[in-house]
Amino acid sequence: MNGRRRHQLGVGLVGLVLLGLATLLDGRLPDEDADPGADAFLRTAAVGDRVDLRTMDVRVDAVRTTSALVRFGVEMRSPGVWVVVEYTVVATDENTSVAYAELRAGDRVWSLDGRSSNDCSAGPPGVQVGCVAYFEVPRDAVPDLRVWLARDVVELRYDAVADIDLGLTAADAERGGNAPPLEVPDTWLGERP
Amino acid sequence: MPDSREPTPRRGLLRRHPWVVGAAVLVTVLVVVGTVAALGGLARTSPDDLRAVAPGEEAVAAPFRVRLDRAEATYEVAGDVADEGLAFVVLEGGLTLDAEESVDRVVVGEALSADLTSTYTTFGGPEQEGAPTSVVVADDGTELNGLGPGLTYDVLLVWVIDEAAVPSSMSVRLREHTWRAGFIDKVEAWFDPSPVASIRLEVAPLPDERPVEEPL
Repeated sequence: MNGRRRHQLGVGLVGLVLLGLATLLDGRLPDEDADPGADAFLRTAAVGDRVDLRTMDVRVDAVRTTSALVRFGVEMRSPGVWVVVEYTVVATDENTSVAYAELRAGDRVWSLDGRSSNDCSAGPPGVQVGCVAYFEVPRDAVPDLRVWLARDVVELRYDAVADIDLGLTAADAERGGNAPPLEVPDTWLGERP
Repeated sequence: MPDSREPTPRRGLLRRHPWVVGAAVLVTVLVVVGTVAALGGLARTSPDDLRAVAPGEEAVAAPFRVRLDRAEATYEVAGDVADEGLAFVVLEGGLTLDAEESVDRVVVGEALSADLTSTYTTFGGPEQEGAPTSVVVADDGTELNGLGPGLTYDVLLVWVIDEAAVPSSMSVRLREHTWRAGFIDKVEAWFDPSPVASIRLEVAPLPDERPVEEPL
């Protein structure tokens, strides 16, 4: 065996060893679950409370339930109930908005997939921005609903997240299920209209 | 200085017995290919033992429960009129999400695979997997681009299809997903759609006349 062949054999051997090591390590390295230090900083609050998310303050102003939402003239009837969350954002140092919004009840999570949506523009520091998020959920989930609001649409690690109890009851679910269609509230900038 | 590329005095097995080595490699390859073929091959499995589901019967295909009632060919769905040369095949049914987190339209589309030919994606390209072009909420005609846990919708599954390719019957495979971590980012999601049930439906034919679309 000459030097070149030995070199090639050595490279192949090193490659195989690295692949073997990677196979052994796969699944053993720390992931999101194994890194609690990366967990989001949950700031629990209730409707009407101002929540400091470091890059902005948020406050849920109003929560409504309804059977049908009207958006751009199109009526969306839900087999469950629509939950409309109106909230205010004030950026701290830079233009910032809430891009992450979801509803939670126990282990169940309703994200912005489907017909649910979050309308929130980035506002300049110190200026109030009125935002709206709406979700459709089954009626049985309404009494336990909490809304999570955060800055980044995907990445919550190391970030502050508002975890706000919507304070809804079974009566709200019943009332919403029988309520007439509701126009999605407009968002606003500066002073609430 | 000797050229390292020159053959070494001790000739290798390949140089001494090229035909023997070649035959051994060939036999090895044939054995491997034969074994793989005998075990079902590398192609996607197409199990023939799919559970047959009757129209109107609810079937489970994780993360969904699906019910398909009837199919028809039409030129108009929820106020949308098909472009010239195209039509819609519409399946009426129900869709429930039995999971703890919302899913997007990709998972919904992957769960349903029709044997229709000449169908199109939302963006107008050819649809290769038989997924519906869109899913519409039957109650209000709005598009359903995903759904949340615990919600059950009456839906219209809509395939945009060449008018000439509208069949008299169709078969839909329900495909089950697996909840697991992604290989790359390790984020858990629904992957690996695999057929678990099949439904055959008659397709009501197209009406004789195409509706006239009202100008905007």
